[in-house]
Amino acid sequence: MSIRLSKSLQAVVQFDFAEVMRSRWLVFSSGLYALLAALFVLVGLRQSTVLGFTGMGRVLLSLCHVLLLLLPLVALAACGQVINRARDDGTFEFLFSQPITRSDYFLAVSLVRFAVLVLPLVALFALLAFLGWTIFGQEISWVFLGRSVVICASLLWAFVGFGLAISVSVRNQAKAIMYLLVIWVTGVVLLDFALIGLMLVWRLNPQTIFILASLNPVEAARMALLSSADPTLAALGPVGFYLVNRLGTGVLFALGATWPAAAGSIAWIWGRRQFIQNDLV
Amino acid sequence: MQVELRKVTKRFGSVLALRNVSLVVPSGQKVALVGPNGSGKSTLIRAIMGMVAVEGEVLLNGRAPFHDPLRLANQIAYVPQNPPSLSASTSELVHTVSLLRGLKESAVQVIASSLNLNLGEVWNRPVRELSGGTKEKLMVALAVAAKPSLLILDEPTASLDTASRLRFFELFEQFTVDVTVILCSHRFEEVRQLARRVVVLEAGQIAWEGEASDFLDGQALVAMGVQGVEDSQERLPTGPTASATACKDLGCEV
Repeated sequence: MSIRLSKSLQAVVQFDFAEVMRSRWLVFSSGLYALLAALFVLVGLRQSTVLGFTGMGRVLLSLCHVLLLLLPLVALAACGQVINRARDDGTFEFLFSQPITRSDYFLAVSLVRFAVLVLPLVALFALLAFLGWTIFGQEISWVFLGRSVVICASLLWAFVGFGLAISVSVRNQAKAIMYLLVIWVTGVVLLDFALIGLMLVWRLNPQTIFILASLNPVEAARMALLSSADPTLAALGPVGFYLVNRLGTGVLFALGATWPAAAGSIAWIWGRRQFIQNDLV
Repeated sequence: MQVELRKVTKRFGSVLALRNVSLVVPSGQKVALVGPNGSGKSTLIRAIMGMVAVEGEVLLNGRAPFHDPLRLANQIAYVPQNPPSLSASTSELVHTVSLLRGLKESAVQVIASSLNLNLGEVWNRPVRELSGGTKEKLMVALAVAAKPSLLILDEPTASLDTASRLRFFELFEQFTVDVTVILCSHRFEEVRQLARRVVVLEAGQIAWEGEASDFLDGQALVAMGVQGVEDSQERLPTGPTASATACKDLGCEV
């Protein structure tokens, strides 16, 4: 039984990885990360100190800040159409007439998509740290590097989960794209200043704003990243600054590292359940 | 493999695709599902393969498919009417299926060549770029090479030319001696060549079932009261010709 299960998982992993390579997702995500990194290296290393970080440390911080906005979109694009497209083009009708369980398929696709998104990022961070050390002679901030990787991976998993859940539950591909965009925009817009704007316009209770901020995986990740680097009002914004003072940087990091992953896991479990229980075609 | 359906009903929203269908296909029997478009044939085979959730029971060898899905799926092979539009290459597809079913890729190649398909020529080409006939042959080769106990065929020769169709019928004779076969077809020739029993579906219900020879003689159509059958049989005393004419009312191609 276990041999069959691993065979089924292995076959789908290989099949989907080949599909991802063909669709050039790996090249695209790696290229995008590398392009951003190159831009920040070029600009960042020439400028003066920002947020107390200099050189490669600041480049990493700035890069992560931009990635926090970009990673959700890349993850949603990579996962948001995978199920409904396979359902439409007849892949499922053929594939599930083979000895493959739905749970194996869902797990395999999730693992491949997550790996393809997160591994180039880890490689890029490692490369930047190595460059900073060898070329610019700067000490590597392993703690910051590790924290950045954990937070980015957690955020990626969140949006892999959201994307797969949408892909399972929304059969119409055009509608699915619309929902994916709404999720991304919601995550990106409900950051510090927009939340304060909401509070002022709709006279929302500050507690509501702090809860909204913490619930938004992008904001949770952002606060965790910045608080570990420089927990100042200018860097974090009023909501983040309040929370870091209230909760402390350790708790904020824990929140930023675990909450996005937990939210993504909840969406993933829900999507998996829908996928297993509902009609396949 | 014995296939049994007990009071199977399937709804898609307000549309009732299958209504209380009960059917037993004993092990080794060859059954054709015949009926017009939308009569529930595809839904029925998807229900058997566990792709759609239904009310009622589907039993394979007396057990629910979810009892041991991998073991059962390993004994089932399926040739879809519309082969998947995969960007994967032929080699990837053959490799994946071989890995899943524990087959030798050479076994697939042997079957394919008996259908006049040289897999080497299309080995690195994406499946979606193959012609309809080539895709169909590939699907048949993968299904037959799996040596299934239950073979489900949905319009298997629709895209094949005459010579390939004849080769397919020969291959079918050779490889399906003890295999249970469920065939969905609109083609008279396929029913004649591949089935011993016919089940006619209409509006999600079994409208008639019996021997393939009776169906081909037009008895099913008479029994169902298909318009014009009685007249045509009076005019044309030979059964097959009469049924051929009236069979078109069931969406069959003669």
